[in-house]
Amino acid sequence: MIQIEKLTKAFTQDGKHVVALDGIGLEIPHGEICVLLGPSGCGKTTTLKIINRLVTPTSGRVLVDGQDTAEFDVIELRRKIGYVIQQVGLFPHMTVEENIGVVPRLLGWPLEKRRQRALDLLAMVGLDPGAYAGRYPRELSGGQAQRIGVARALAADPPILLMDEPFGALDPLSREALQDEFLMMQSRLKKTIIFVSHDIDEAFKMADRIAIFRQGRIARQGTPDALLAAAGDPFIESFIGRDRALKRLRLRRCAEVLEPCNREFPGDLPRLALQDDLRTALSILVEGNFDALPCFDAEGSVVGMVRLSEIRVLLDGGAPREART
Amino acid sequence: MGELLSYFTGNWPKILWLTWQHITIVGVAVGLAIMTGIPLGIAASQNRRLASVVLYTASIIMTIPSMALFGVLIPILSLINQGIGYVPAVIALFLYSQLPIISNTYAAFRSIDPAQREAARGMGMTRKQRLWMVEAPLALPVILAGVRTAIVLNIGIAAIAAYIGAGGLGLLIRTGITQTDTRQILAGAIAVSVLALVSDRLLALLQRRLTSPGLALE
Repeated sequence: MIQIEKLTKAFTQDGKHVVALDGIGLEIPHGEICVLLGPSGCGKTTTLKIINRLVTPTSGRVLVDGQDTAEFDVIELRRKIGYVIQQVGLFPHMTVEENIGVVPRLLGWPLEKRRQRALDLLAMVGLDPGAYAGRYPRELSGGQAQRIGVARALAADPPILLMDEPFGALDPLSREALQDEFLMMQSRLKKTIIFVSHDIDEAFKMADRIAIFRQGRIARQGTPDALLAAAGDPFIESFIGRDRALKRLRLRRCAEVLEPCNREFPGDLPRLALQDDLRTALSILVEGNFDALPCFDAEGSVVGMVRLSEIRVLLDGGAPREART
Repeated sequence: MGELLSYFTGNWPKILWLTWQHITIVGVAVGLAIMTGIPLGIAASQNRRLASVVLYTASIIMTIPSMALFGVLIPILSLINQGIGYVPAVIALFLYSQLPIISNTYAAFRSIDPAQREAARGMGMTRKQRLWMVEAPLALPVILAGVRTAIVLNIGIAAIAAYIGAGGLGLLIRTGITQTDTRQILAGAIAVSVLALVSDRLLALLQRRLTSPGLALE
């Protein structure tokens, strides 16, 4: 668990007093992804860098599992915290394997163990270990380089991961793919992750909890669903946009509104899958003017149906169906 | 042409000896310059005020004609009885080596991607580890290019040091001029050129060997 308490950061720039952070307070439970969301210059990266002490706060403190980070040896602290940045920062003179092995090497792991770890991690981030271990960063695409950036941060199995717009420089397709794969990985790894982003869609997709930053303060924080459901909050509405209902539906799956099939559907209808998100389902329902469509599992058999009215109920603040029955 | 060849064959022990002298003068001067120039260049890359002073001074030294520099060194070094010969030659070449070595070191360290520096810091490298594991290997090719320039440059300038009694291949040229012996002048000039070319090739090879393949790829 990470507790951030009353962080402030002020400095003087060109003779002007600048307050970069003004009383940031945040708690991130073990195994959760907390997204710091906001425009550039709002203090989210500064907050991130205070956690691994690349930046020293003017006041306030950060506790990791109850211990003040200021009391750690700074070098040891950083080796226990994985760090991924937007520019990746792979070392061009080292092979992929050597890049991944940097922190293990700093920790004094023997060569054989470092090599094995690098190969395991390459497989985990979806790159063929045999083909990529010996390559140099210049021989990689942006998406591949960032996968290795993530692998490098995970090398010494740190409990905490700091990610500063890790997928920000990628094209939309590889960004989506990396987000999905990262979420899959996280469901097994259960790291405590602070993730900086300025992309609202990304934030709502990745986060267990979101802190919306504005001018050095946290304007709102909560779970993605709670934030999206906060109707009537002018800040949220202006920040998130008027399509927040769609954004909420994107976070939910067909499985959550599934009902038993009580009628016959013709065979040539569009197909919904259990893992489709509800925004997709809604789009398909509205497009074909259907009130309901059958939903299929991975094997291709009908497991139930999704009704338009049930999606409405969910948006109304109704709890997901499983919770009610 | 035949006369020149016979001069070479008849005098090769002497030519080899002078070549060896030439190499030691340049080698010692550049060796010392590496030991001072690289730390100065690194320091300059981290301090803008120091950078302007150091680079400016090194550039000014570069503009002093070698004859004039030898001339200035003679009265100063005479105070410790080293006015002519090996010592002033090494000092002059040492001074001429500063600009290529310092400015290349400075440029090499300045051009390191800040993202790599930050990644290194964020991963928990100490200052020393950052220097040896990241910054030095990245800077090395450019620093070596500076050393190469200094060596080739100094092989030429060292030929003039024969006039202050430092020996080396310049001696052939000097005696050739005083005795109006074209063979000797040409022999000296050719030997200096060959030495410069061979050194340059060898250093290029060394540079390639010491550069990570990850940096050499285009």
